[in-house]
Amino acid sequence: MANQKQDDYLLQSLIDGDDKGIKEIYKKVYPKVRKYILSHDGSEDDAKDIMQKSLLQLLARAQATDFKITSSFDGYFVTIAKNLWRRAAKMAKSRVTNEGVLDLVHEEREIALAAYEQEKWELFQEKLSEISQNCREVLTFFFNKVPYVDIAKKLGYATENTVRQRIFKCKSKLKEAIYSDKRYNELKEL
Amino acid sequence: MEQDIERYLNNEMTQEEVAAFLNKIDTDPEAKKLLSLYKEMNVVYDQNDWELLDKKTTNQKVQQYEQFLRSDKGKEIANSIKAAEQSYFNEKPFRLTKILKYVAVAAIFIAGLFLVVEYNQGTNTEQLYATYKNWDELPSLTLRDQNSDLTEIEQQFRTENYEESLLLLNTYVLNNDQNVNPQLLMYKGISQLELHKNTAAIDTFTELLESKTLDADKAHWYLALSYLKNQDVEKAKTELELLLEKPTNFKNKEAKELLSSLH
Repeated sequence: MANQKQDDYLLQSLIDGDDKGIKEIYKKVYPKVRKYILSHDGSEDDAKDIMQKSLLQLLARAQATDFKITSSFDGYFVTIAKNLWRRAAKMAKSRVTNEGVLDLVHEEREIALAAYEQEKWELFQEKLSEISQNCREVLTFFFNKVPYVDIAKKLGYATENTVRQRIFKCKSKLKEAIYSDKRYNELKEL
Repeated sequence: MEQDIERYLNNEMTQEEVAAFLNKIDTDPEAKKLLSLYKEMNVVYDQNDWELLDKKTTNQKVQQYEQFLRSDKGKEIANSIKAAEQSYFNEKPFRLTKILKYVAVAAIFIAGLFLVVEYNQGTNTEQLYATYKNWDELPSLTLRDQNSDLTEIEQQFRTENYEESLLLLNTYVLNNDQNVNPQLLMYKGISQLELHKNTAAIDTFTELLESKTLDADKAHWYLALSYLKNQDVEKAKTELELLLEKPTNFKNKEAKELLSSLH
């Protein structure tokens, strides 16, 4: 089967709830999801849980008629799984900081929230890829907390101040790109 | 405004400046929106962070996703996912079983080379039984979306819960008194064998043999394995020899191989 054809088959199997096709998804992506989770402080059970949640999230989003996967199916799926694992880490952290406050939410709601967050994350990544390469580099360092002095060294800027100015300009461009996309406003709709 | 936001987010403002800034944010919706975006960017683009939405949000998209997942269709597909998961993980150990089978065959072969005298027949036949049984090649009891009792029997069988599969099977046969179902007899006999009810298993496979079905002759193979498990080598040999009569017979090749290890 050609790659695109197989990818379409996998997504359609999920939409149709076809056990056989969903099992094919497991065969294709579970080993990758497992490898990632196990190498990031997770257990086999965590991997199974993330796999199931990723499938449900994708299922919910794929109900929209305009839903499309622009990369390969397994690449896309593994990204969802990685983000869900990051999400789980963030939640564990906020549970520790909000000691004793247990915010129990139904599984369906939790998956719906994660699906929305993923959608927004994808939109932001797409917008980042639209600005100039230089801006993208500077901002990627900045957002990942690389100190100004190191960014200056890595990208050959004379002073920290130049870096600061550059970040300011690039952020403004990125902001424009996000603002002008109507999907951003749609996501914000209550 | 953007500069102020930057300074605010970087904690570079004095207390008075912060108060004035927050006041402005409260009264200027555009400024508020901008601050929110800058905060979002800081979290979303940080590879070690993740932006969590307020759980109580009334956002349309979130509600839409949730409604779908709670709908009958959503629940149905969630069940299909669980079924696929179960089937995927149930299959995995079988790969290991296959590897173990090769290891066992090799071990028996090597043992055969060195042992000239006849060694403990009991252990040997048990080993051979373990080597040649291969239950995962048993045909499925159901087609997709068919009878759920049969699915349950098969599921218990595939997960090696033989007590359960046998119990469910007996109940099923009692409630569905139809013609002999050769596949059910195979599942039954094997469950009995795995539970060490060897004599009962032999009876079940004899019933299969006497059934006038297409699968009746397969009983010779299962009887041979049952006798092996019962350490009755002579009877096992007789069953195997019957399989050698025609090369098209069920398990003809394996029967030949097994027979030569018994001589």
